[in-house]
This record gives sequence, structure tokens and C-alpha cells, in this order.
Amino acid sequence: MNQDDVRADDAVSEAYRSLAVERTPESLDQKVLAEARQAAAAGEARRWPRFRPLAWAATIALSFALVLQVTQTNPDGPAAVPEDYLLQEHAAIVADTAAPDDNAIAELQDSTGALPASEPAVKSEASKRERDNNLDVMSGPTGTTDLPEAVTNSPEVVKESETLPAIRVRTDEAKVRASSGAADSVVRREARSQIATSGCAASVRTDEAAWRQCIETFIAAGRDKLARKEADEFAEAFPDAEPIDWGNR
Amino acid sequence: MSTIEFAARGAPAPDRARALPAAETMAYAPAMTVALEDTALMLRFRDGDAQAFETLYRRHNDALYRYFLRLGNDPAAAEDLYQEAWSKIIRARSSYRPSAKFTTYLYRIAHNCFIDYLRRNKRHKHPAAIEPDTQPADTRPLENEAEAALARRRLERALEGLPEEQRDVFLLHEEAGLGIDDIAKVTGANREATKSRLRYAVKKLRAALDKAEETA
Repeated sequence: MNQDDVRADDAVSEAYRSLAVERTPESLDQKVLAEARQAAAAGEARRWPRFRPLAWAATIALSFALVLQVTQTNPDGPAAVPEDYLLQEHAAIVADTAAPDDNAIAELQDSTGALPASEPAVKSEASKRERDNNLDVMSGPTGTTDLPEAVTNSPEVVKESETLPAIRVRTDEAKVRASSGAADSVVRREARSQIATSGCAASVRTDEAAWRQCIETFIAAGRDKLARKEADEFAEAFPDAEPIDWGNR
Repeated sequence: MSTIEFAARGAPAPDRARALPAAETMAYAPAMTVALEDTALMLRFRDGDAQAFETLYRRHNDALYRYFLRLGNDPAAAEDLYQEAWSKIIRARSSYRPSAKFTTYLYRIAHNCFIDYLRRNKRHKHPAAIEPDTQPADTRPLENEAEAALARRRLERALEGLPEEQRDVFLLHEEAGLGIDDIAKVTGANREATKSRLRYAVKKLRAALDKAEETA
């Protein structure tokens, strides 16, 4: 049976038409027409095209600002770690690796009582004090910092067999890892909070398929609340689009 | 005044008309079919003309109402869905683009409203029969009222008994006057499935009518 065959069944059509005689209640007509009149009077249809370029400009400006912010808080190198701090850390490590030998000599000398405390031991003690002061200044009032822990307490950082330049390189690497990791997590957190509050981007919302894909991503990620909010807005903007499939949710 | 407005008011359109999308230009062309007029009216409403909407509304209101009434077999739900569908059209008018016939657009929205309603109410049954207080239009004179009433009752039952998809397709065909391709667009099904659903629906209704004739 083709489409013409279906049409040809006039008996069914005729019977249906004799059955389907209901008309819209007048009260319902009035409600709908009143809503239409109100909407037309509000002049939204004329206002929106005028503001569209402004909306686009705002979207572009915001995107640009976001990109700038991300690039500034996500350094590729050790620039986020102050240069002075690195130098002080290097000095501290140099002092640490040099100190045990001098101290041992001094202790040996003290225990034998043969000689007064040696000059290297005094120098080492002064260097340590200076280093501690510098760290206190860098780490702030609480006296805590993530970098010294990551660098100086790690058994892999200081090994007797390693040379100073090697230690320095490893220290630098550890600091860069720590700093860039922290920056990355900040960026990720910001991005997450931005998505959580704003949902799909304005540029995505102009395209039916892209917006649908964005919502489906939220659904797949289990973010039902946000997805439903987006889906409602999607249905408002594209009422003739196929409704979002929620599966068994 | 835009090119569209010139065309809509019958004035000669400036050369800029060539830059318009084909569908919009067609919508305002002087020799219009009903479908194109619908599109033109919707575009005028989009531009703030409430009278254009009223004309458009009066053309489709009863058919859309009956579509919801028969589809859900629940007059209260039909009224809510009817109002919701028109509200969506009113609210989304600024994004309206005449990419398809207005009837297809209208029933696509109506179909989506019904699907949402079903999802909200899960698989609802149809408890309410159609209430008698709806306003009947003038019916054609029938020689045998009792026979006609029986046939109508059988057809009504047969329609209620159809699977939702088949009933939907049949109503879109009868009430909206849509062809197979447009029905497929509205329901989101493919052409073959749509054709098959309509065929089964008509077959079952035909059988119900035949049975009624035999009984009479």
C-alpha cells in the first residue's frame, strides 16, 4: 500500500470527520490570543535582533578574557616560582650537602678536646640559620610551604653519590612540577566552577546540534540537574527540536 | 522598512530581496499557497504583528485541539498540552525560521509536548473518555442517526485502541493534513516506519467500520 492507497481510504477519513467535531473551548482561545497579544506588545521580537550583535561582542570579549586568565595562571616554565626563592633553595641544598662533613670534623675535634670548634662548622651553622630565616620569610606566618617538603625531604633529592649540578636540576624539576601542578588544578577548578554555574557556552547555544551534544555530555557525566536546566532552555529555544533523550533517568 | 515588509504588503521589493533566504522570499511572494501564507503570517507575528497570529491561530486551533484530545484521550491534559504548544510557539517566535511548512512546525512542537507529557506521566493509561461538553460543529445530516452513531462509537473505540504511534500518525494525517514525509519529520521516525504505521492504523479502523456495517 502506498501513500495514495492510504489517501484513497475515504470511508475511514469520512467516518473520522463525522466523529471529530470538537472545537477549542472559547476560554482556551482567549488565553492563547491574550498571551500572543501580550508578547507582541512587549516587542521582544524587535528587541532581540537589535541586541544580537551586542550579545556576540560580549561573548567574544568574555571568551578572550577567560583565555587570557587561563594562560596567565598556567605557566609553562618556572616563572611562577620567584627567582630568589630558587636561589635560596639551591644555597640551602649546597649547605646541607657540605655540612655533614664539616660537622663531623667539628664534633670529632670537640670530643677529643684537642682543638676549639673549627671555622667550617661555625660557617655551616650560620648558613643553616640564614637558610631557615629565608624559608620562614618565604613560607609566610604559618611557616608551611609545599616546596621544601617536596624538595628537601624527598629521599630521591639528596644522595651522597649525586653531584651538586644534578641535585640542582632535580630540585628545579621538582619545583616546576609542584608549581605547574598547583596552577593546573586551579585552572581546572575554575573551569569546573564556571561550567557548573553557566552550563553550555553561549556560542554552543546558537546551534541546535552543538547544544544537544553539550547537554548529552552533562547527562553522560551524571550532572542531571545542570542537564535538565539546559534541556529546559534548549526546549524553549528550539521547541520543534526532538526532545532530549534521558534514557532511564 | 525591510525587504520582507515590502513584499508582505504587496509593494515592489528592492533589489536586496535577492539576498534574502529563498524560503523567506517565497513566504512573502504574492501567489501564495495556504502553507506559504501560514509562514508569512508567522513571520509577521515574529515582527510583532499580533493580528497575523490571530489569523494563523484561527486556521489551526480546532485541528490541533482535536489532535491532543484524540491522542491522549484526556480532555484536561489536552487543554494543558494545547496551551503549552501555543505558548512555546509564541515564546520561540523570535527564533522562527521558515525552513518547513508551518503545519509541520506546529505539529512537531505539539508532538514534542505530548512526548514530554508522556515522559512526565510515564506510561499513562487513558481513563477519561471524551467529555460531551465539547462544542460540536455542524454535522452533516444523516439518514440513519442510530447507524451513524454506532459507526462513530466503533471508530472511536478503534482509534482509542490503536497503539500510540499509529494513532499519532493517523491523527497527523487526518487533522493536520500532513503527508508521509511531513509526518516522518514530525515524529522523528523514518519514512517506511511512518507509512507502515499509517497503513496499520487505517486497516484497523477500516475493519472497525466494516464490523459496524455488518452489525447494522
